[in-house]
Amino acid sequence: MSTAENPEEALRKSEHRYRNLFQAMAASFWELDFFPVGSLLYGLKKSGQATDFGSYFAEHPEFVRDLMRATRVIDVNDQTVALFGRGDKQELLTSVEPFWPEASTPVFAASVLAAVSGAANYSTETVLRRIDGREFPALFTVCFPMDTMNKGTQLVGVIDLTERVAAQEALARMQAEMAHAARVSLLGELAATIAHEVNQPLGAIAANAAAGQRWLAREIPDLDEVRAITSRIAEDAQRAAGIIARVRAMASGAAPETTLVPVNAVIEDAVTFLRHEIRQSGTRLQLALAPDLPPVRADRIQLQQVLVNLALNALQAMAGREAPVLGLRSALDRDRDRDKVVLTVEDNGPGIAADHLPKLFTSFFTTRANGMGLGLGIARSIITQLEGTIEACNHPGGGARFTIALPAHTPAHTPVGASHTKV
Amino acid sequence: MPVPSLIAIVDDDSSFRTALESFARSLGYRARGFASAEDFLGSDALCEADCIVSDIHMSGMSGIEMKRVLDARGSTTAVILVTGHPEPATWKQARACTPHCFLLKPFDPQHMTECLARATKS
Repeated sequence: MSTAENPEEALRKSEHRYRNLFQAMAASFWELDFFPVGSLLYGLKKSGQATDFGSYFAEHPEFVRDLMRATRVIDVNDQTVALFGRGDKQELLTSVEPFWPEASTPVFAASVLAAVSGAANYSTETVLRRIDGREFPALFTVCFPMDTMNKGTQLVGVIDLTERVAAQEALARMQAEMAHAARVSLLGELAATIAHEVNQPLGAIAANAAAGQRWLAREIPDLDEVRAITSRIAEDAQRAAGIIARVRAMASGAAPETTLVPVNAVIEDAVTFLRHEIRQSGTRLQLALAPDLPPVRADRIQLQQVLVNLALNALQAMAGREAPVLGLRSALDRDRDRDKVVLTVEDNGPGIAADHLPKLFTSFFTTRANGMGLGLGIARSIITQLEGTIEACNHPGGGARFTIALPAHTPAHTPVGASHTKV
Repeated sequence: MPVPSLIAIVDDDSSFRTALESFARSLGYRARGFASAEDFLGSDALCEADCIVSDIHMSGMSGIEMKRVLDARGSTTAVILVTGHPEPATWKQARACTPHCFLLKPFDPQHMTECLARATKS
C-alpha cells in the first residue's frame, strides 16, 4: 500500500512540511488561536450593543484590547523569538495584547473587521512592541485561509521595517542637507547681486552724507535740505538691512517652516535677488501680479528659492540673445475642486530640447557646465511636498515656461460675492 | 549772474538719483533726474544739459549704450559714468566709450566734485 494513499500519513507529511516552512521563513511568523474572539464578537452582536463593528471598535478601544487578550499565541518561529523576545520562546506564548502599542489598536481592529468581512488577508504598516517594551515599525500581514479559519487559527507574518524607516529618515535628512547646500550654492551664484543690492543703498547713503555736509557748510546752512537728506539716509539704511535679513534667512540651515505666504511678496523678494542679473544682462522684466491673491501654505524661503532658481535658469538660457525678456506672473486658477495660485516663469530663450523635457526634474540633470543640477529636482520635491505641481513646457512664442500651481488657502465656504476682507 | 550749469542725472535707482541731485545742487548746480536712458534721450534736457552723470547698469539701455547714442548724434556734452560693480569687463567697456570720468559707487565726494567742475568748464 502506497503511503500517498494513506490520508493520515499525507496529513502528517503536510503538517511536517508546514512546520518546516513555518520555522525556516526569514520573516517572523505567528500561529494564533482566534476562536475566543469569534465568541466575543458573537456575544456582542447578540446583545444588540453593536450593529456596526467598525464604529463600535472605534468608540470602545478597551473592547479591542479585550479581543487582543482573547487571541492566544499557539506557536511562533525562531525569527519571532529573535525579533520580539529575549531568547525564551515560552514567554511569547501568551495573548497578542502585549505586542500591540495603544496607538496601534485601530490596526488590530481593522484586521478583525477584515477577518469577519470574509477577506482573504489583511496587510498594513504599523508599529508593534517587543516583549521588553521597545516599539518598532513593522509590516503586519494576516491570512484568513478557509481551512484554518474553521479551526479558529490564523497565520500572521511580521517584517521588521526599522531599517527601511531609518533609511527613509536618512534620505529625508540628506534631502534637507542637499536643499541647504543648494541654497548656499544659489547664494554663491547670487553673490554679485547681493553685493550690488547692498551697494546701491550704501552709494545713496554716501552721496546723501556728502551732500548734507555741503548744505551745512554753506554760509547759511540749508537745514530743510539736511532734514530731507537725513530721512533718506534712514530709509536707505533700512533698505540695506532688509537685504541682509533676506540673505541671512536664505543662508540659514533652519528647518523649513510652513506658514501662509503671500505669493506676490515672494515674487518681489525673488526680484530683489535677481535685479543685478536682470540689469547686467539687459533683460526686460515683465511682472504681472494678480491683485488680491489668496495666500498659499509654504516655507517662504523655499518658495523664494524655487522662483530664484527658475528665473536664474531663464536668464542663463537667454544669455547672448537679442532682447531677452523674463516674465514672472501670478494668477488665480478657479478650479472645480480647489482654487490654485499659479506662478509662471517664462523666457524668450531657445526653449527646452524635446529630449530634455522628460528628465528635466530629476536630480543632477543639468545642461550647464557650472551648474550643480540640483535646482529643478529640489524645486519639484519642494513643490510636491506642498501638494502643488510644477511643469515645464515650451510656449508658442518660443522659449521655456515653468508653471507652479499651489493650493490656494481660502477661508472655507466664503460665499461668492461676499464682501472682501483682508486676511 | 550766470545761470548755473545743468547736470542731468540718469539712474534707475531713485534713492541714489535723489541723493546725487541733492549733492549737485549743494555744489551750486541745477540738477534734473531721469529714471532711464530712454527717458533722458527723449527729453529736452538732451540739448540743455552741460554734463550727464549716468549709471552704467540699468534695465533697458545701459549708460554705455547711451554714451554711444550721444556720440553718434554728435553730442559733445561731457558724460560721467558711475557703476556699483567694477568687474573687469565693465571697466574695459566703460573705458572704450571714452567717458569724461568713470567713478565707482559709493563715489568719493572730492573726486566727483572735481569731475563735475571740469565737465561744466569745458
